[in-house]
Formats: sequence, structure tokens, C-alpha cells
Amino acid sequence: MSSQDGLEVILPGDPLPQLNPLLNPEPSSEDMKPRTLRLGQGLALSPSTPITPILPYRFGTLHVTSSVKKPAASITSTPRHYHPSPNDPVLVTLLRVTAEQFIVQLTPYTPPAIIPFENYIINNAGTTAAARKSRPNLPHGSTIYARVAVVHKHLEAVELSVPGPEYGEVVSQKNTVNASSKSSSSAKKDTSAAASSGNAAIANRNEVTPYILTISQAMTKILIAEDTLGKPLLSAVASKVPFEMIVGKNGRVWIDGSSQRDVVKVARCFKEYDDGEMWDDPDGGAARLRELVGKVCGR
Amino acid sequence: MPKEPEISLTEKTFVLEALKQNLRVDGRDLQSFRDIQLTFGDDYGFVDVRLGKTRVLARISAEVTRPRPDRQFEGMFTITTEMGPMASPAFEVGRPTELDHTLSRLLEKSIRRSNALDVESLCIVTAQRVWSLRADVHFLSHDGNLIDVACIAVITALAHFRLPVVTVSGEDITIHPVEERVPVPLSLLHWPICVTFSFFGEDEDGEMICALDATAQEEALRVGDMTITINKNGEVCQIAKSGGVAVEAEVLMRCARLAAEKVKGVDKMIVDALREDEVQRNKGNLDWLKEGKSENER
Amino acid sequence: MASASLTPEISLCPLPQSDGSCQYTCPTSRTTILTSVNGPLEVRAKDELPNDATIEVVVKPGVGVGGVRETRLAHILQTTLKSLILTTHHPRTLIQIVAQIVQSEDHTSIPLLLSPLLNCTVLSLLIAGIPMRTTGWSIHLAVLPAGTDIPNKNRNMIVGQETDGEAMQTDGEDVVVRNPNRAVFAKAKSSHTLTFSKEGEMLLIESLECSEGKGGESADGQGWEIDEWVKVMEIAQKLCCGEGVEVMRNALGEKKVF
Repeated sequence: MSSQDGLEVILPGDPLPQLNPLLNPEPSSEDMKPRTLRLGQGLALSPSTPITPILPYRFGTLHVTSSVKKPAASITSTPRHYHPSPNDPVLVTLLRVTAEQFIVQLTPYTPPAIIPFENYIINNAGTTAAARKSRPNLPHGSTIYARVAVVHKHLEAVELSVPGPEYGEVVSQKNTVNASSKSSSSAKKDTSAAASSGNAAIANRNEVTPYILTISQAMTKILIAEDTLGKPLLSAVASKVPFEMIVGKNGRVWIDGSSQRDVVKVARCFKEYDDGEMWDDPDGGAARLRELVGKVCGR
Repeated sequence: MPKEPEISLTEKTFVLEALKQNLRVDGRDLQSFRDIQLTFGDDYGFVDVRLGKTRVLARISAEVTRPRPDRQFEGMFTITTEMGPMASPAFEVGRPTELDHTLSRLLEKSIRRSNALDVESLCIVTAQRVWSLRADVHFLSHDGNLIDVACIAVITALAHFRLPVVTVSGEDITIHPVEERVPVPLSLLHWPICVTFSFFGEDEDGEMICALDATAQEEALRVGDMTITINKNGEVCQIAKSGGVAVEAEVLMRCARLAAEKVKGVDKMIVDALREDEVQRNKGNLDWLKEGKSENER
Repeated sequence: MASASLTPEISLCPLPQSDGSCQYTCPTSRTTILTSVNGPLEVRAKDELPNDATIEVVVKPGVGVGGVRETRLAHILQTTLKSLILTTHHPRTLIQIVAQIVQSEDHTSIPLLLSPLLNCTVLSLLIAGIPMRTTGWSIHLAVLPAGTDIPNKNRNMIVGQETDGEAMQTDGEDVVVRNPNRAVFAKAKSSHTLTFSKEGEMLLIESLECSEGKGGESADGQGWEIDEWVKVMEIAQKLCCGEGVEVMRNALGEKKVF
């Protein structure tokens, strides 16, 4: 398997002759079976375009995975708008409940998304919220950690699911017992183990501490890639303040810490890193990040 | 027209709890403004004001018209504020929101009715010709506190504007282009500045929590607000508190004192920004003179 | 190759809260436009299209409230952009485009505003990640009668003399200038705003005749020769597909993507 990054900027409508070998494999290759090229974000099939029948419809850089079994191509770009795609973890706000589903807000100003009750699994046994008895009683405005299930442009709404007990409502109560269990369970979540050393402190809190910060798509990608892109930021902040986080790809991050002051520190670091687009600096933002963390969290 | 997004319970609880501890999500305390940035354009009377993520443009333009028959000695001054979807997708063109009305009424009360601009100085020939001045306020980005920012923008733009020189000989008037005669500043009697307080209910000790320069998120969560317009001499021009939570007179007094103090800082910031722009402009003029007279076409 | 002074000043994402935004200043006419794009958003029921996204364009004037002129500009933008945006990708949604005229030598002149408006909007659409078939670039060309006196500092507007401002113009032939400022435009006899896609398809023509020396748009019935128009069109196509696309690529190339 090899992957390569086209450094050149691709504009919508640019011809992509480099994809031709993937579409029509040379007869000399050992397997003669036609392979399917998977088109990712930013690419669409368009029979009318010359040279290749593939049309880039967004600006960005071309990313090709020319693996023998699963060739794939996509345009890498960071639009500010969140475009849902299946399996994305998201943090949504409950708007209302109907007879069959939870109606939730995925991103601001867009049509609401839905979580059908039968997609809402509440425990390890696979019980769903379909039965009235098992349905969680969530107040309006609660935050639910879910996954994108179905996205289709002709569908009435984006469908989400809560695939297991590690998803579901993100608790925000002054309940220490609940909080400790939540800490351990949220540590299982693939994106939240940034600062698990602070778990003990978090369990002893006595004030309402979690906060949800709205962040850009670029920042979301940085926080999700906690071991690579996000490492400088997360380790710098975590060395000063212990915290937990859950990242929703829809541009929302849930932050919890041992006190409100700590949470504010983390939120400010994230926000100012994001607003200042520090990752765009030649040094990857290291200098400005050091200054920021020093300013916000103290030396 | 899409609706304003819902604020989650988590955010709501956190913001309100934090305010009780004199803590805000962006790290400010309750009594501080975000950083204000003023940028001037190529033209006189054009200013771009940024306060955090809120951004407002103001432009002053002038034309010569006939005065109103009942006010023959006075020029005209109007302020136009129209919110568009640029500030927030929830605003629609041609369908003013409540915020639109509040804004235009407050600017009217704060700047026009407080006689900040001497409209008699805009008169060219009594009952014949007067200057008609307009201030266009454009809202580019909305992250709370539009009223204070719009007021700063209009006042700064008025102070920055220069009116072309007019000579009158009998019935004829001549308007000299900016290149020909150095234009003159407007006659501003004082600079009223709006300071808006947001109320968030009482804390454990029964004290009203009030914060300055609320963000859009805080505005959505507040239970009441009050705008005090005051100048640097401490003269109150206007107080508006329409509805919302009841506030004791003592709180109001405290707010007014705080506003008077804040306005001094804002006033100084505007003066400094104007002076700096003046220096920049004069530097440009000297270069332009050096270039030679044959090219002064523009 | 254009000299540095002919490259527009472009600032991407000046508005932190919109999906895509751009501020664009034309290097010669100093017209400054700010545009924001949001989408795909929830659409009002009455504007909903079953198979397409609704494109809403609002043009806000720098001075005064919006009137016929702004509606006309918005309409031109809307129809031009419709041929670029792949509206079927997001059916039953709204793509909201707002253009604010920030600065212009003449707030009433459509020719001075239109080409910066279009270029700025296309850049905002790209930043917002709105699906597009291709991109377009727009240029405003004005034809000046032969022998028109153009001040030295504006010589770089003359097509073909960009690099050498001091070169003498050829006598007896009309002069074509690009993106003229108000002073130069006032001497024009015809004005042409043209938009081409990157591949060279013509997307928009807004041609009008001007009466010489009377400034802007009032016509005196002279019209223009078809040869002259074809020449202008060829120049526009070359500029839009060449340096226009280059400007766009350079501006977007500075934006880091990952």
C-alpha cells in the first residue's frame, strides 16, 4: 500500500489524469478483475468531463491510496462547514422528542438530525430505547454523543445512532458517583483519553464543570488526531491542567476538569489556538502555543 | 430563514455557574471589554471596528440638499442600520428583527438626540442649501454587543469624517473637491458612548450579576439588559432598560459609575486611533507632493 | 506576466463566523468587496427546491439601503454562480451568499463593482467548500478612443503595456484598459465585464456603451463594432483563464489543508 499527497492545489473542475491508471488497470497486472475506485470527499463521478470521468468539486489537495485491493481517492480540504459522513462521532443537542425519535441539532442553522429510538442502544445487552420503559428521559438541551448512521442527500434528515452505552447522554450533573463511572467509561471513547491522569481529581469535584466548546473543522481534526497533529497542543495543556474531553466531528468538544477555572483554562487554550490558526505557523505554532499556555495557565 | 441555534444545557449551566464566580469562558472578568480594534479606510469617514469576533463597519457620506421647511437653519443627519445575513444567517434582508429596532432606536437616542453633531453647522445657505449627512452602519459579524460597537463605529466615523469646503457667492455655491481645498472636520459637541450591561439574575448573596460586553452566547442566556449612554465628562445621555429582570436603583447607580469609567478608556482609545491615522495620512500626502504636480489627476 | 501592482489584494476568511468569506480589493480601481457564504443551511419552505439547493444572493450597498441597482447586481451574480455551483449535491437546502460593498470610488457604477463582486464571491464559495463544477474569473475591460491621455500612474491598466508603464501607446488604435478606476473609466466609450470559466467557457457578458467624457454609463448611441468586441472578448478570455486562475490558485495555495 502506498499513499501520496499531491502538494498542488486542485480547483473544482481540474482534470485528474493521475487517476486514470487506477480506473483502467494495465492488463499486465496479475489480477485482471476490474477494481473499484472509491471516491471520497470532494470527488464525484461525471461522465461528461474530458480526460477522466472524475470531477473534483472542492478545492484542496488530491489524496490517492493506490492499494491493489482498495484503491481510493479523495480531495483533502478543511471547509468550515461540517459535512456529515457515516461513522463520524458527533455531539448533538436535543431539541425535542417525537413518538419515534429524538430530534437533535447537529450543526447550527442546518435542518435538525434524528436519532430513531430503535437506533438508541442503552446497555451492553443491546436493549434499545424503542420501548417506553427503557427510553431515557432526557431534558431538552441535553447533549448526546452519537454516531452518524445514514447520510443521503434525498433523505429527509441525517440519521444518527447511539450504538452502545459508551455513547448516549453526556452527563453534566454534580453527581460524584456518576461522574467517576462516567470518567472511566468516557476514557474508553476513542477520542477522550488525552489526560486520563486527572481522573481521580475529576471524580472529587463538587461544582458543575463540563463545558462544550464550539470549534472549527480544522481544530476538530487536530483534536481527534491526538497522537499526531494534536499532540503539541494537548500535551502542553495537559501538563498544566488535567482534563478530559470528547470530540464531536461536528465542531464541538466536551471538556471536563476538576474545577470551572481549569475548564475555562482548557477552553481558552483551545479557542485561542483555533482562532489564531496557530497550526498554520511555520514552526507549527510551537512558540505561540508556549506563550498562550503560559498566559492562560500560569508558568 | 434558519433559526438561531439552541444552546445546550451543559453550556448554559456552565456559563451561568461560572458568572457567579466572576468567571467567563473567554477568561475575562465581568467588568472588562474585549479588545477593540479600529481600522480606517482610504476615504474619510470610514471605519472598521472589531470587538472580539464582532465586526461593524460605519461610513459617513454627505450630499447637499434643501433643508426641511420647518428647520431651515439645520442640516440633516440620519443613521441607517440594517442587519443582513452576513452577521448571522438568522437575519433576513427586509425583515427587521427586534434587535434591528432596538439598535436603530438606541443609536437615534444616543447620538442624534443627544446633539452629538451640531446640525446647525451643516447649514450652507439658510432655507436653501444644507448638508445632508448619513451614517451607514454595516454589521459583518455578530458575536454580541452590537449596540456598543455600532455606537463606537458611528462616533469614530463622524470624528474621522471631513466635509468638503463650500464657498457661497450670492445664489451660487461651489463645493471644492478634497484635492483642491483641505476639507474640514465636523463640529462634534461631545462623544456619547454606549455601554451595555447584561443581567444574569442574583447570586447566592442576593447580588445582581451584571456583566459588560456580553458575547452572543451570554446574550442568549441573559435575563435582562440595560444600555447607558454617557460621555467622557460623565454626562448621561440616555438610559434604556426595556423589560427583563427587575434591577434595584443601587445596581443602576453602580452600573452608571462603572460606565462613566469605561467610557473614558474608550474615548482615549478612539482619540489615539484617530491621531495615528492622521499621522499616516499626512505622511502619504508628503509623498504625493514629492511625486510632482502633473499626476494629481485622481 | 502581470506586474505586482496588478495582483488583487485577497484576504481569505476575514469573518470568523461564516462558512467561507473573502475580502477582495481590485488593484487598479480600489473597489473593495467583502463576501460571506454560508451553506448548506436550512431553507424556508417556500424557497425549497426538491432537487436543488436554493442560491440566495444579497448585495449590500456601501452607502444607503439596497435598491434596484443592488437587486440587479444580485441577480447577475446569482445567475452566473448557478452555472458554477453543483446545486444537485445538496437538494432542499440554502446556499446563502452576502456581498458587502466596502469601498468604491463610485458606489453607483455597476461596471466598477461587478467584476470584484464576482471574483470575491467565487473565492468565498471555494473556501466554504460549496460543490462547484468549475471556477470562474471576471474582468472589466473598457475601450478608450485612440489617443486618449492616460496619466502615467494609470498606464499599467492598458492591456499589453502592464510591464512597461512608460511605453508609448500606438496611435490610431483604440486603447483597451482593464479594471479601470473611475478617472480612466470616465473617458471610456464602451465597457465590458466578462466572466470566463477556467476552461474558457463564457459565463457572463455585461457590455454597455458609454458617452465619452461624460463618465460611466450614459450612452450616446455610438455602439461598437463587432470586431472591436471580439478583440475585447479574446483579451478577456486570455486574462481570465491565464492570470485570473493563477491568482486564485496562489491565494488558495497559502491556505493549509489537512
